[in-house]
Amino acid sequence: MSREVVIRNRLGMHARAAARFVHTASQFRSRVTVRRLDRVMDGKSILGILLLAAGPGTRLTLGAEGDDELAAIEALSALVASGFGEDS
Amino acid sequence: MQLTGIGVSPGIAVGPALIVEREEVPVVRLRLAPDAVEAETDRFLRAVAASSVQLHGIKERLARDAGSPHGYIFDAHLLMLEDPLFKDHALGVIRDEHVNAEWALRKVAEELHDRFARLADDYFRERSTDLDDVLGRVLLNLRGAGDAPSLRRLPGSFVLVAAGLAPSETAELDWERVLAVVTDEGSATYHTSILARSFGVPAVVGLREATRRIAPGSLVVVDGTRGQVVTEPSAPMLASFRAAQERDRAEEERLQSIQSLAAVTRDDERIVLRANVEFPDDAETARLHGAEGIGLFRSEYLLGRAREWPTEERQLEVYVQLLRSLTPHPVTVRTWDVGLEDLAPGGPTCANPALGERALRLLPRAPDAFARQLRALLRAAAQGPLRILFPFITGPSDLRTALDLLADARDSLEAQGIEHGRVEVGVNVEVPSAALTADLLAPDVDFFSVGTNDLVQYVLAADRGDPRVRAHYQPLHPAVLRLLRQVVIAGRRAGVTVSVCGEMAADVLPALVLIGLGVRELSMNPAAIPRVKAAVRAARASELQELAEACLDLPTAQEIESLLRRALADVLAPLAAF
Repeated sequence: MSREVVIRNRLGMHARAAARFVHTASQFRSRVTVRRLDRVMDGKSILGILLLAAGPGTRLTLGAEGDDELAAIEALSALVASGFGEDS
Repeated sequence: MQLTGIGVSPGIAVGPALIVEREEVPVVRLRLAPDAVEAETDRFLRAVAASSVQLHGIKERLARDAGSPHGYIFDAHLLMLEDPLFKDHALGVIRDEHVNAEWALRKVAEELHDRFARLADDYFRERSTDLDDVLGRVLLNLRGAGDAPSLRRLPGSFVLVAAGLAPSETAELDWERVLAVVTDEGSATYHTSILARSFGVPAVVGLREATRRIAPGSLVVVDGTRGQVVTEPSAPMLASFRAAQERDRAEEERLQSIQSLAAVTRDDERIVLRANVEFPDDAETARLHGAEGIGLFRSEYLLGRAREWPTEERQLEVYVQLLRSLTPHPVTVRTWDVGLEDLAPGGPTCANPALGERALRLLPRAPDAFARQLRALLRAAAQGPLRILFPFITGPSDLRTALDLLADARDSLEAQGIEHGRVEVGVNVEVPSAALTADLLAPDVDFFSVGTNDLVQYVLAADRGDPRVRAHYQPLHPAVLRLLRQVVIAGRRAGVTVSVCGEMAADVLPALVLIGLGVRELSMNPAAIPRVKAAVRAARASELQELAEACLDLPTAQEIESLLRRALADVLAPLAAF
């Protein structure tokens, strides 16, 4: 399954935000992917996430495949929607 | 010898130089026998595990010494260490190509560097320095060298001179014994700078050849406020640095004493003090001087030396940067306020450019330039409170043109599904006709920003740049005060905020009259804020109102000024210190 999200926090998916994302993704057994346009990265790879260079306003598609995919997608999109707990 | 770099952590320090040398060790490539591959992967994993233990130690130490906000970078480093793009990939290279771990590491590092180097965004591209730091540590651990002990336990207090410092090196530094840091490389976003500031250690970066030109043990003066580094200073020079050090300390105390205080009159009228900003770097200065946002960003900076219209993306970057620097306060961006003569060097000229084809009057010639700016501003507004200020509006007809352009820009973003935000819209009241039609403009705007420098020139027909008529340029002229009063009343009736940007807001006497006339927002160059704030805190709004009304009845600027000086003597006297 997949879901589209928009990066809302002011700094974008910078090092701290990317670290939080990977920590969260790694709590699930499912394979997690993050897609920006035609580039797809492993959601459990901080280097991959940083290489997406997702600044504020970027649209990303989160994907998860596995027995806990729904929980993974919910947790990760909530993290992104909360601005990684930074701004609001 | 004097070197000039970029001061990234303020303050002055004097001490002996310690040069940090980093050895470049050639990496050898070995072809492994098939039965040696498993042992090699084990060796690689042991080096990764040792690096992980060290990074956890650094992270904990940093959290203890510098406070938790700085430890996050090592969360990222720890994740990089375990990252499949690094670890799994390197293991794959060892297994498939039967090469030694050092070589596999080098190969993976180069591939990742290539990918980071292709990124357009400075911040993300610079993350390859974090990668270097992590991989450099693994390489050291592969060699059994471990950490460099010298930086963790310095043999005395030193000015640290290095080509560059990796984040983990800066974190491990024996900061109590570091008097100052100077580096050849570096930019203001560099971790070294952030940490140096948090430890209160002066730092200058971007010196290019400090490590080559500064002799070990020589006496070095580092002025992180001004970006200066001097070696073996003469006695008078050293004395002047000491004096500057003392002045900086006094200045710092003075600013800090008032920076966090609110601009409130003695009878509890809240005055908002904002900064006029020309360059994005001024935003930090504005914040340090206690500005509650930017009241005027002159976007012409974006034209650059080439005097060319910038792209939408470039503008977006700068506007968002300003919003971030001043968060949560608003940033007011004035749209292009240029004439043709400002654009193409050697381009068309006219006898009187101040009354010529400028600002929105250029629209027919450069429609795309305005559309791009408004799109960039609307997009930036999704990231924070942004206000758009249209300059050189002469009345409702100009304002309609501007608002139509803004609506078009919003429609085009909607149609493309590009994220954008709500903006407040204001008119820069600087042409007398705009002041005289303020009541007609007010229903369609959120704020007025009175540009008094131009308004005074136009009202009194006196060029303030011409020394021969400078005496005729009189901000306290009754015509100016009466016109301002009219704008304030029109704004108040329509619920439109009236702010003033211009020299009048930065000079204590006129600023107090403005408050008396009912202005509640002033925008000025950042350095003027503490002084104006001190005046606001010493005054009573009710008395200023009576005083302003008395001024409106006086016939000349001279009489108005002497009345103000007499009446406000008590407020003005203690300001000598500012």
